[in-house]
Amino acid sequence: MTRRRRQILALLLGNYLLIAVTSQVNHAFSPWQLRLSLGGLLVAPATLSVGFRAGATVAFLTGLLLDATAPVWFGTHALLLLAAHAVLYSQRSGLAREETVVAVVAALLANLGIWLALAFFLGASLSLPGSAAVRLLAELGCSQIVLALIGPWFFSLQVRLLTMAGAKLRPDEF
Amino acid sequence: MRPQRFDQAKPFLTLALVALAWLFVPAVAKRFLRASFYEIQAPVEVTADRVRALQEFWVLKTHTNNELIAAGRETAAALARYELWAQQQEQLAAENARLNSLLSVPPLPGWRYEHARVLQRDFTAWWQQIVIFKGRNYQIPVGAPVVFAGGVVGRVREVGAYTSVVELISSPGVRLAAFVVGDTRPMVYQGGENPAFGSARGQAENVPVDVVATPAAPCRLITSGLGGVYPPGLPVGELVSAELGADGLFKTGEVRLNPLLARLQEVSVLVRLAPEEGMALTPALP
Repeated sequence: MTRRRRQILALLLGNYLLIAVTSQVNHAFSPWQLRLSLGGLLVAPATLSVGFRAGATVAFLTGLLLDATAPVWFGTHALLLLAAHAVLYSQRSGLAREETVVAVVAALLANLGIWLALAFFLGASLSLPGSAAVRLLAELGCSQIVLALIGPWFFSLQVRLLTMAGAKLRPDEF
Repeated sequence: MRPQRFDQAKPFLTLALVALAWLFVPAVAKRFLRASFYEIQAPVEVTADRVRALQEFWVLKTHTNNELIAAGRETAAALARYELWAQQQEQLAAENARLNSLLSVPPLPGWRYEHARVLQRDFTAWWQQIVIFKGRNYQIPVGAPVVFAGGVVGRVREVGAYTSVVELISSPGVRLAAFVVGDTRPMVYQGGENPAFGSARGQAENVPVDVVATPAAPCRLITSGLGGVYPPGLPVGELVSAELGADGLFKTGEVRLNPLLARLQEVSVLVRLAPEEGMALTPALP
């Protein structure tokens, strides 16, 4: 198996785990009508730690995982995550990627972008957009706080998975 | 060496190409991919449900014998009440069948209850859905109504190998015809507002002008049976307000849904039977 494929598999495994954990947390939060959305955290580790093609593949496949369980046009999340990957990748040469704080801030911005795009595309399906805005803002706030809290752990997990798969980038490859 | 401008544009060119290519992927391939990605995630939900069940088991194991004896007594009393009601239900069903045969009324379609455990609840401002632990393995059809002790839950939107996705009536865009109890004029119920840290709500449209509802004296809404999806008489929610619309012909109001809808753990899918297969379901009127 090539190194790129091992990178993709390792990162997808991490993302699958995060999706599973998030869905369980959302299940527990459902009586409060609150749902966490951590799309930025699914994109940022791959974008900041591997090459463009591997990162794009991870973003697209992760998006399809999200699309499969959501009543949206199949491909919505996939293309949004891919777009977030493209934007983040185009800026990554100017970022101190090895710094955890920088990586978490990048994930927060990516999450905000994905959330805004999703709200733009799905907003039309809401019958009461005004009152729903309060809920959406509450969800965004909670999601960003949770992302900031678990971001360092998840970045560390993805690096560990890449190391275990023997696909971690050497410092000179950054 | 490639110019730097091309390198910077490469991510966006790739994005544009993938988006364009995705538009031309055949619908069959997309459906296959969707089903595959859905089934990949189903084991996680089932495993998580098993873990929760184990957790509940160990919590119950901590109860003392005295608490278990008291719970057993309460269960025995409840069982005795339900047995009595079941006998009354049988008598009513027999009486109903006799009257129907006297009047030569064609039999109503029968329903089979398929009880299922809720694996996952997924509530957003855009959609409200649950995943249940029964699918094609129990012949669950797409579009089947789903109910619980508090009334209507929603309808099956998607069926997997051993799980199904149910769209809740609190989901924006869900519409069904309903009556106020004691009235036969239909109105339209629509799911809608689901505020954070609050219970789900819906809207009622085309409410007759003489219907008066307030939070202190709400009107109970039940399914009308029109449309053929839901059997008539199932509780939907409570109409807590009714204001005259701009046209002056009808009122619009707010519907308060059962708060237990957000904590569902067990639901029943109503699977329609062929006429020769069974008796008609007679839902208990509230």
